[in-house]
Amino acid sequence: MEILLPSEVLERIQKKIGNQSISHYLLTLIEKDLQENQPYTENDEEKVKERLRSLGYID
Amino acid sequence: MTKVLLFGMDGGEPSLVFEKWRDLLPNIKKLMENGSYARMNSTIPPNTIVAWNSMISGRDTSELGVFSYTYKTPSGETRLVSSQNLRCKVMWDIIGEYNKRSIGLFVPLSYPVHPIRGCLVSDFLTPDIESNCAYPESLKEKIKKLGNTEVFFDVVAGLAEHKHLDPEDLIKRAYLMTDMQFTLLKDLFHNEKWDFFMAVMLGTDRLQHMLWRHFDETHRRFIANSPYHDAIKNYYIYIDAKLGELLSALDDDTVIIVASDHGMIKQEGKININNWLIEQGYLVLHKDVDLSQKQRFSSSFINMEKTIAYGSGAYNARVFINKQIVGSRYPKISEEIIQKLKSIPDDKGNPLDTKVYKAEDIYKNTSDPNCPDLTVYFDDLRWASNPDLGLSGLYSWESAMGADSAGHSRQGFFVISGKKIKKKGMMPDIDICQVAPTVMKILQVPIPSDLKVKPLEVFTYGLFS
Repeated sequence: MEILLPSEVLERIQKKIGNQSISHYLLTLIEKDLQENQPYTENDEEKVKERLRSLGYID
Repeated sequence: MTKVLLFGMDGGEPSLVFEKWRDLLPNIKKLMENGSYARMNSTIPPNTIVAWNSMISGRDTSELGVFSYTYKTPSGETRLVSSQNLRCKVMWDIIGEYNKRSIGLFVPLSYPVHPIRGCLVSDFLTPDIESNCAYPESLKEKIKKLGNTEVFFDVVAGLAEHKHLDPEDLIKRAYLMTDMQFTLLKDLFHNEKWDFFMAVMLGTDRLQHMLWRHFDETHRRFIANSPYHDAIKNYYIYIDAKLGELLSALDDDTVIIVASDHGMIKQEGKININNWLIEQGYLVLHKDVDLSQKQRFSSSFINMEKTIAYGSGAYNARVFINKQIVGSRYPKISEEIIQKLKSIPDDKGNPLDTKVYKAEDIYKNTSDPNCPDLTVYFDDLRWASNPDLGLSGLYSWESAMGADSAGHSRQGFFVISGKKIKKKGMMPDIDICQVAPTVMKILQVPIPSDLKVKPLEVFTYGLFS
């Protein structure tokens, strides 16, 4: 999959990260964003999973 | 404009509603007599979160993108599903685009909630009241005033080892949960504007899972003279009375639907699916996996370089075939496993009426890595699947967490009644995906062009056309 970025944005990224990989920079940003939008915190997820295990709904 | 009330009874069993307890449920009976009703084929599998969302979207399991309560991420991590995993719009999203207001209460897989034109309060997958469980958020304050907010979302919340819970306690919690939920429900029912109102009552499912053998004399673990013999029946009666309170407040331009996502069926026992796959040579575990003690199955145990298939699933079995290993032999291996699964007898050697569904035969989209290759209903779901390891032999009566008295069956029930609905009585079986386009037609909202499922033919001629 290719993502097109305006050259002006590319230049600003390059300026910010120096010699680092742009792909790595973008992936880190996306993962961070997805992490923030996770529906469950780690504790919450375990709490609900335990509830489902007790019902026999999940292995 | 015509409105729709969809009142859900999770796990409501058609044989109980339509036959055994029909006369004890005067409100549902009246709707049946004045309208149309049918047994309703659930999703494959008849999983609560999948089925309710098929009902309010018209999409099959693979279009929803949800096959079970958990899914595997590309890195192999097992995560809990949420409303964010749904790949399609559900009723409130669709009709909201036409300025219709919805109230959605306790609908499975609605957590976390998102803004809609109306109100949403999430389901039993909600961690607690402080989470993103209500839209608008101000509804949380109403919920907090109701009392025990932990039990508000599920009978078993906060309890470990639910299946060892004292039945008395379970029943008390079911009524407490439902009373609290109904207080909120009635508040919104009377005080909010709505075109589509949907609420799902969970207690029927929870009580039936645990207490079925207290009343079903054909159950192999039937408990004679149990003080809980009438617990499920009484809860059905109580829910019917609660429904009656709503019906008495409705105008005659509201169409009422009462439905369940799946039915319930006695559970004879469990087939240890991974034990069987190991014994048949399809599943190879890493050498350091300790099989001397009972433990939950984990995909990290699988030696993927030598494994042809592995199993998952707590009621129906989900079998995943390792395509990297079998390559072009996939069709042959798949058929071989199907035939062998169908030949598994019960613990006394009697044949089982096992049904095996191939993904390509039942789903529109089979490319999802979480889509099982085979979905197995042992003895048409009278026998469950147990993927745990460290069990002796092919059969077990308890999973790692306890025992079940009943499991989900393939058909739920559907009743529809209203001024503009035909009085057809009992109809031939319908499909759960037909409910969504039927509701859209009643609300005079265009049915999405890519939704090929037809609405039910229950309308009085000329109306809604």
